Amino acid sequence: MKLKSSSIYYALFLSLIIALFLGGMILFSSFTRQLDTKLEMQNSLIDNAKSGIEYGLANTAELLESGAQDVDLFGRQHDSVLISAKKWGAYTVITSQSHFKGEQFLKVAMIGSKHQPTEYNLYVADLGRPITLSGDTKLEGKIGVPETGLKRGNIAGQPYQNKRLNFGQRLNSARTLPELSSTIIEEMKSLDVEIAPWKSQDSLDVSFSQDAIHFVGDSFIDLDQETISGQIIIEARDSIFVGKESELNNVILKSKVVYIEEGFQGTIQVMASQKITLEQNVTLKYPSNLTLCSTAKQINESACISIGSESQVLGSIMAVSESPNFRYPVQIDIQEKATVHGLVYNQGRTQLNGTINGSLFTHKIYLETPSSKYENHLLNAQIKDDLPEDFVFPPIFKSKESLTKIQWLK
Amino acid sequence: MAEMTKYRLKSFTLFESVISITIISVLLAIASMIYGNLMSAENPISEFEAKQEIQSLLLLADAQEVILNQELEFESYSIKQTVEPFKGNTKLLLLTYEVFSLEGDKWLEQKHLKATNE
Repeated sequence: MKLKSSSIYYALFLSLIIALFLGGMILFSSFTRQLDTKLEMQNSLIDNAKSGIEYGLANTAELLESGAQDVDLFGRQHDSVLISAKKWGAYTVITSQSHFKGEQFLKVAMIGSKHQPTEYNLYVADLGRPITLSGDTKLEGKIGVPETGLKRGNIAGQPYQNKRLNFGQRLNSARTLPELSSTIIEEMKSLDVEIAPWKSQDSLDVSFSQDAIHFVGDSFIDLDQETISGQIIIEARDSIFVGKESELNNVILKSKVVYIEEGFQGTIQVMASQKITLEQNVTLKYPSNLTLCSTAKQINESACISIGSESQVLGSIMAVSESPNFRYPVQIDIQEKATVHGLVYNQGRTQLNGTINGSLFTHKIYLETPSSKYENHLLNAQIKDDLPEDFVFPPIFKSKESLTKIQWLK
Repeated sequence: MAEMTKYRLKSFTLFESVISITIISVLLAIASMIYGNLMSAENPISEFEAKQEIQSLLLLADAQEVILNQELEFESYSIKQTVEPFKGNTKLLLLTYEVFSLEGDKWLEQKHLKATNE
């Protein structure tokens, strides 16, 4: 019997195993280092994209004028960010794309005004007549009213119920409302995107990182049972109907007349020139916007926004005239149990039977009961000063406004 | 003895053993170097903690009206937050976060922008 005891074979075998193990370790080490570097780079890209949004917040006006800017944020040659801003209805959208060695990261944010700069909860232009309060009217917060002040009244058998006339600071208002930014309406109208003919869609989603789509229909567009989201403008020459089954998110609707069916819920911005009607129990989620801009041609009836009973609007409502029509001013009608959380700005007259949690700026107040019409009367109107700290308004005023993020967009 | 002559033990035991021990030693030396290299990634856990801490400071800065320079001491590192106007623009702040070891070595530096209400 021969016993071969060649330990060199065992050694070589063991060496091979150790070598394989070492090779694996080297590969693992290099892989983790690569991964680490990549993660580091991605984190840096994310941080730079966020910094780009902050840069955009501080330079919005310049970005809106100049278009996209490629900025090397910290002068280190690897912090390049392409920043741009564009109007999206009453708000602004900032896009920030950081890029380095073929890798890129995109952040898109909708921005608005951090505070409502005047901080008034109610502001009624001083036309020399007092405001009469009836029923369960309650005015909270800072108010600006005519020098002739507030007085108690009794409308439709409902006398004023509260002990005090207002619950907060009271100041005299001026003859005119705080001025709007000179360009806000023009900016809202001039959404410079390519136009496509409207055809009914079951579902459509356009990212804010892409180009917007502007659909234009002939006369009437029926948005019923449609799911539309993102950077889409839908315009009809005559009217748009929004059914309760539709799901709309961040979409802009433009027409002469926009009618929203009872029970609808969504986030939309509406621009109309004659009428915006919200039936009962409609919820427009934050940040929605309703803008009525009446043109000089309308002479026979008031352009009007009507908020139906138990409806809620979270965002803003604006009614403006291109040229003042004293006989038929623009009109906002907020019905009983309807609530607006945010800002209402009206260059015409407002009927408030519901609640505004935020601010109401109006040239005139009116009240229409089944039996009569009253000027400067509030019946069961509630003005509250209870908005969350981080509520963001559309930047509509001429005065300097500090901007902040409302939401991140896809 | 006659029994033993039946078995021929052919081996290079000493020579082979020396070579094999040498090979294995070299390989183990390389292995320990690689392992050491992997483990000596400048306190990866503390560095990770420091990065998380910077994110918390950034969130805090978002909620604050006024952001001040500050230096924060932690168990195995310190973070220095420096605030200055970005390129002279008072509407935009440059926040620089530097992380130092207890010995004073700089581990990392991060820069962020923050718009203000000025």
